[in-house]
Amino acid sequence: MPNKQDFKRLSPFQWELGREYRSDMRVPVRVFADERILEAALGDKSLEQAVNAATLPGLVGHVVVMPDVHQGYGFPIGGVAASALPDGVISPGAIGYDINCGVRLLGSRIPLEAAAPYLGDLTSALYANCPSGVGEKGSVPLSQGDLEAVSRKGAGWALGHGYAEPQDIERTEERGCIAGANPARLSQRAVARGRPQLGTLGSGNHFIEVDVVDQIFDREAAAAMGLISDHLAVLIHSGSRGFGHQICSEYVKDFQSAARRYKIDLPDRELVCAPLNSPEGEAYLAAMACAANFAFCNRQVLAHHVRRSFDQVLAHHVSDVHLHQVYDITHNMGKIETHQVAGRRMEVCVHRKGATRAFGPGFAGLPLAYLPLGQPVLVPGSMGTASWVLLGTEGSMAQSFGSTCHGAGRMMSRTRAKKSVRGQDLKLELEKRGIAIRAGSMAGLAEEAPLAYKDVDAVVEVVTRAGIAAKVARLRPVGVIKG
Amino acid sequence: MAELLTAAARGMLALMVVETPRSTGTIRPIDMRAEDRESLLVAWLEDLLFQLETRHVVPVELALEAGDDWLRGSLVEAPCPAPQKAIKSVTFHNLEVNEFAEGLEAQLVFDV
Repeated sequence: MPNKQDFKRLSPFQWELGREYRSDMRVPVRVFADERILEAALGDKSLEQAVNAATLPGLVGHVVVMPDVHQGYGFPIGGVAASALPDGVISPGAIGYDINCGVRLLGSRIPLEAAAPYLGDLTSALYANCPSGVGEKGSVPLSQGDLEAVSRKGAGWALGHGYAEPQDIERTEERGCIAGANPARLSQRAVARGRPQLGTLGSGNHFIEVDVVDQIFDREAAAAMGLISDHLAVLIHSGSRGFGHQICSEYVKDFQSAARRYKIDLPDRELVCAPLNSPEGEAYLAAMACAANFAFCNRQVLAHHVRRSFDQVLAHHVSDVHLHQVYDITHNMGKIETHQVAGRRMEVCVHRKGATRAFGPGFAGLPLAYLPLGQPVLVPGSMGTASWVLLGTEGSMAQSFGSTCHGAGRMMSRTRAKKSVRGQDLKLELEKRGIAIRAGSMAGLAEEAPLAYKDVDAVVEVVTRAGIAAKVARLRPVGVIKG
Repeated sequence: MAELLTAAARGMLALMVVETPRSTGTIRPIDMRAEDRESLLVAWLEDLLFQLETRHVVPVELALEAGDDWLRGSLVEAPCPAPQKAIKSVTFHNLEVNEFAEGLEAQLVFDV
């Protein structure tokens, strides 16, 4: 395990662990952290996992570690690694089981003051309309043909079926559709798990949160995003559900033999990988894109149900109940992008696991309104603390493969969290603070207690002071729905 | 190996707090091959998770024979209500199957 002395401080918020630390490292590891966050990260195995990740063949630059890092399966959550095309590797475990787990933000012109008396009813309606929890079925059962169409079209499928507005698609990363999806790469088991689950929130750390815009730091950007002080906004955090899990599990299993075939030695079996241009690598990319597109469509259908819930509860009480899309981002994904590495522009596959793409101003894939600003980045906190809206920067392009943090970052295991707080007590405490809670399981609620997470404000402070994101607005929760 | 697979199945279902079905079930034959015993353990448990999520059944009786890279036998499966706790995936992270004088011991990490 590395310790603090092994790191060289490059700047107040950046630390490097050089290749000399371990002989099998192909690239260095760079950690974005202040001293306290670095010391906390050394308390679990996340930085050792980053060192393991640095052994993947074909990596370029450095493995990036975000301040919200915590240990994952094989690859740390809050990690970014880029492998060079054509024969660098792709590793399903470095993308995560919940492929395209991500966050969507909806803004509104609804003043908190006008909605406050109805927040209890609103969270109840959201809980009733957005299926959540273990094994819950969605409201949009799909035939096999439908699932294949969702896999190919992503959020575009939802638009064609009345679950989206055109602006939703425009304001979604990759317009809600990753190229290269091939449903022929899906197993019957993946199809069977995916068909009943469109429009479901899931369990674990997934949530829908009604927020109020608490503080604005960049007026121009907030205006472009339609974020108004003391007005409501909604965050949706979900992913590709059992469909993505099945795809990741199958490829982690299949790649066990592929790694041997390509003579790739790995320190952790969960890091198994295959060259991007191998049949195995190409098959995974095509299946991963299917799961990613399912996840974009899933959050889109959930957004439709959120709008329906707002209509049901608030239509007679506020003058404009419409929720507009601010943006939708993924934080578990492998993407082919062009980056400047050691003075050379090159095509790489950027693995982001618990990290958000954060492209700066002028990036051609951005909607027109955001083109001069940069890409919106959505950083949810834990349910009792703030969430943040940030912007990608030129600094992120230069330092972190156009990436930044994705959340607060867990610092306590679920088991420890459950031992530290009872779900019912936590619910009462949050309700006393004006946060309405609807949860399927009190034990599940305790696992996600704010005390189990790092201070999201400190995480955001690091990424903004390091220059890999810029602050736009801080959100404060007033209603939370958990599976 | 068959005993280890049986014990792992019981352990996983206990973690998920699956209610023991009262009704009798139907027989499902099982025949699996894998790279090695660790992969076999993962594949076996993933199969049970898949059956639970899609068919809402759990094994109530197991008659298994297994080697390091194969598994054959039959299960009696019965319908059960949704588990109280989700296990989303069986991972290869820190996966170990070790031999002791008394038999085999496995360490598994689940994604929850």
